[in-house]
Amino acid sequence: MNGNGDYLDFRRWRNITSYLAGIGVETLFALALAGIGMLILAGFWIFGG
Amino acid sequence: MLLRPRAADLKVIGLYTGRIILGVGLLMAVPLATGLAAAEWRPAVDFVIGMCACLAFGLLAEIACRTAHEPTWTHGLVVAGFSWLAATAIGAIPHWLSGHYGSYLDAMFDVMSGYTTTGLILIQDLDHVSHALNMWRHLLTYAGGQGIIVIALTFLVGSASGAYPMYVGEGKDERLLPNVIRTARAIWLVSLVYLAVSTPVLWIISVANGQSAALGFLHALWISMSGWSTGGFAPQSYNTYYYHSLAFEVVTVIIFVAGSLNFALHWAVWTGRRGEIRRNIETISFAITMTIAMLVTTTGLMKLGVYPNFLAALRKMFYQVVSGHTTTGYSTIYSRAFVRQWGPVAMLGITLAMAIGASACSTAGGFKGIRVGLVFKGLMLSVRRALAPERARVVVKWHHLRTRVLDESAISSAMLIVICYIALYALGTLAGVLCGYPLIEALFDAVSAGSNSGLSCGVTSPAMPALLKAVYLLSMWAGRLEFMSMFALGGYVISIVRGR
Repeated sequence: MNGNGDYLDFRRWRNITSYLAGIGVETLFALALAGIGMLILAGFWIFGG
Repeated sequence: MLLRPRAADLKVIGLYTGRIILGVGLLMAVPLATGLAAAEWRPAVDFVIGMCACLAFGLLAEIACRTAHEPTWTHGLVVAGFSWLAATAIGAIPHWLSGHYGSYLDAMFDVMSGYTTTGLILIQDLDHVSHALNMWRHLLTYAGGQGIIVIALTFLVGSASGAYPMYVGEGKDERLLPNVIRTARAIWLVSLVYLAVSTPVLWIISVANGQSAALGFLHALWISMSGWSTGGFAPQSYNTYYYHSLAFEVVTVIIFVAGSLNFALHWAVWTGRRGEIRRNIETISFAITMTIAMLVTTTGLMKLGVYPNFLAALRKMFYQVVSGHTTTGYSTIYSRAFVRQWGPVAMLGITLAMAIGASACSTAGGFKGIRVGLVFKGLMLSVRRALAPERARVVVKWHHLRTRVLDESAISSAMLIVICYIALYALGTLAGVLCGYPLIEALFDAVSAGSNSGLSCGVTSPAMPALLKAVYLLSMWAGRLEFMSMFALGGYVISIVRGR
């Protein structure tokens, strides 16, 4: 089986940990977008008048 | 010369379409069980009738179209196009029987909106819909997000050979694993893990905000399903504005941003390649176009001074832009507020976000980040070639799971699909204008339907002309399947009529 195919088995603790780490990385990506939004708005708020 | 399909071809198409409808019928067991558990007897009967219709269709197809032939590429594309239409027509039975729809077309509109994860609705008195029907609405969008053919591949199609064309016909063209059926299972694994994580989080927030434990759980489950699928359905007519909760908004944003990422990217990140999210052309393109959309929208809002408070402005602007860009359709403002408060510049910012959309091979719609990235890199390639010495070999690279050299075929196929989307948005806008709506409003809702976003500025309503409902319904279908299946089905119908 392909190495990545081993990850299909959700009963292994190692895989569950890997899924949760993946969700953590994707959450950080979403929060980074919110950070960009905050910077844009702050820029307008401070310099836009 | 067009060749008329043989009986054997029609049998293959009938057999696999029947199996997909059978899958839709089996899915109805979930809302049926919900109705029985909530003592909603009338809605439960509606789902028994719906299930019987699907099972009858599926079993008849199984008997009448028995064949040993495996589907070819053409069969796969035609099955993908036709089965979504058939599943919409039959899946609308419980909607129609609920009494919440003005016509069967309205019921079909909402079912297509669910399958295609659009989120535009024509349902009436949404706040008093049964739990069974709400379960069905959100399950439709959850199943549609992964793809109804992916469901059939996972549970009903035993053989991998011939399955790949149907999978591609549904607008997904990446294998997470070498085998297409294992790919379908990996897609379900990612979706179910997200559902298992996000539902308890939203449940805790709902209960903390004052909802009862039972109702809070159902709302958390439904919002998780619809958010992950970038579907935009909610159990209340005020959509996610109903919850008035910053924590709820933050969690839903994370869910639908994750839902809008490419399943192949999820699989790479989940299986240890965490850095892929920083290098991938889709996430880079998504972040850049999101920044542009936020800049345009914020300019419009600041020009009109819509929100005097910084946090309120951030919450409203960011939620609506991300919801539009991920083609989710969750909203924390009233539909008409886009027109009456936000004004044309901010509406254009949201329209731009919806038109571009999120990632390919995800639950989202629109042009897709990979195509925007490739077209932009193609432009850069042309400029660099023009400026380079005549004999120089100019090479531009792009990264999606692996680094590749940009070639003409990748640029032209990306450009072709982008042009198809622009034509779809233009046709929808034209239909809206011809029905008497102002240009900016017609554009907003047409792009929303074609990109499977679901945000509305008020054009989409039970009172809109039947012609426009039909145009939006077909737009949602064409946009979700990314045109190829629609063209294949159209060509097949023509070859039946005019072929030799």
